Amino acid sequence: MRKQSCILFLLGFLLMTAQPAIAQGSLGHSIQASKHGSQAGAHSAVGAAKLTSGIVAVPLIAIGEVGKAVGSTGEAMWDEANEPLPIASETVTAGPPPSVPSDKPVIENSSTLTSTGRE
Amino acid sequence: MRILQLVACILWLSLSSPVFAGNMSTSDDSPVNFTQEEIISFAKKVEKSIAGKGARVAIVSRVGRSPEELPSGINYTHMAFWVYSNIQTADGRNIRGYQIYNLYQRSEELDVSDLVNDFPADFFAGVFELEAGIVIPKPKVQKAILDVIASGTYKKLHNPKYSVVASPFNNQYQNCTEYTLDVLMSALYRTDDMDQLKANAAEYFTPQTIHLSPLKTLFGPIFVEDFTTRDHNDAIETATFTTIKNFMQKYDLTLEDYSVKL
Repeated sequence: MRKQSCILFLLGFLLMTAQPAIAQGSLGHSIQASKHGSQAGAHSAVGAAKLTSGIVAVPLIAIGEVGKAVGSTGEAMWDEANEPLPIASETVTAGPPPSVPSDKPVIENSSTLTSTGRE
Repeated sequence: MRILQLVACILWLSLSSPVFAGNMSTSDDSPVNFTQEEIISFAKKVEKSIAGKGARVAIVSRVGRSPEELPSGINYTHMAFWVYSNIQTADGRNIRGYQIYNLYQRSEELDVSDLVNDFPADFFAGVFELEAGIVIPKPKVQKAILDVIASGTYKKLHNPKYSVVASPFNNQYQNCTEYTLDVLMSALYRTDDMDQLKANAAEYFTPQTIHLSPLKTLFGPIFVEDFTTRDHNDAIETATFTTIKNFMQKYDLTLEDYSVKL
C-alpha cells in the first residue's frame, strides 16, 4: 500500500513536471494582458506606457501608398535597395481576444489580410 | 520495486531534460523578467531597426526560454513574418509600423495552432531575454513572401496539427518554424503544392537534429501534449531560426541578418 502510494505520488509529480520539460514553442501573448506591469505604473500614471489598439493593418509596399493592396503597384521598387521607412513613435498592440459579436459589428473587415487577432 | 525504480528514472530524466522552446514565462507562477516599459521600448527598438533598413518584410525570432534549457543548436523559440503596414488605430488614425503574422499554439490546446496577427510589443511579451534574431530577405524575396501572405496560399499552407519538433519534410505536423519555411518555399517556387514544397525542402534545406535520450523520445509523446515523433523516421529533425537563416544565406536570399539586444 505504501509502495503504491509512493508510485502514485511519483507519477503525479512526473505529470506535473514533464510538461515544461519538453515545453511549448509558440504561445501568443498580448502586452496589454501581460502581468509584467510597469513598476512606475503601479505607483503613478506618470511614465506609464501608452498603448494604442490597432484594429486594421494593411501591408504597405511603398511610402505614400496607404491602403493599396499588395501587387497593385509596379515591380521596380523591389529591384532597388530599400530606403529607411518611417515608424510611428507610439506602440500599437493587438485588441482583445475575439468573441461572438454583438448585434452591430465593431468593424467590418473586407479580407483576412486586414484583420488583427485570430483568424 | 522495479516499477518504482523505473518511475524514479523517468522522473529524473524528465526533470533534467532540455526544453525545446516556449514562452511559459508568462504563466502565473513564472518569474517576471521585464517590465512592460522595457518590453515596449525593446519592441520599438527592433521595429525601428528593421524599418531603418527599409524592410517591408522581415523574419524575426524571439527567445522564449533560458538558452540553458534549450537543446544544442536552438537559440530562439518562436519566429514570424513582420510586414510593414499602415495601421488604423482604434481612434481612427493611420500610423506606420509592423504587423506580425504568427503561427501560435492555442494556450488551452497545445497541439493545435492558429494563424494570429499581432504587433511588436505583443510579440515580445513574456520573453526570457530581450533579444531578436532578424533576417531581412532581399527585396524581391520580400515581394514574393508578401505575395504569399496576401493570397489564399498563406492559409492553405497552415496545418493546425502542432508539434514542437515537427519535421520540415512532411506535412503531418507543423510548428512556427516549419510554417515560416513553407511560406518561404512557396514564395520562392511560386506554388502552393505541399508535396512539391516538401520535396524541395528535402533536397535543399538542412534541418537541426534534436538529440534526445531514447527514454525521452519514448515517453515525451505520452506526457507532453505538443511533442510527437510520429512524423520522424529515425533522427528528430526540425526547422529552426538558425537553420532557415543558414538556408537563406546559402542560396543568396538574404539582404542582411543580425540580432538586436536590449
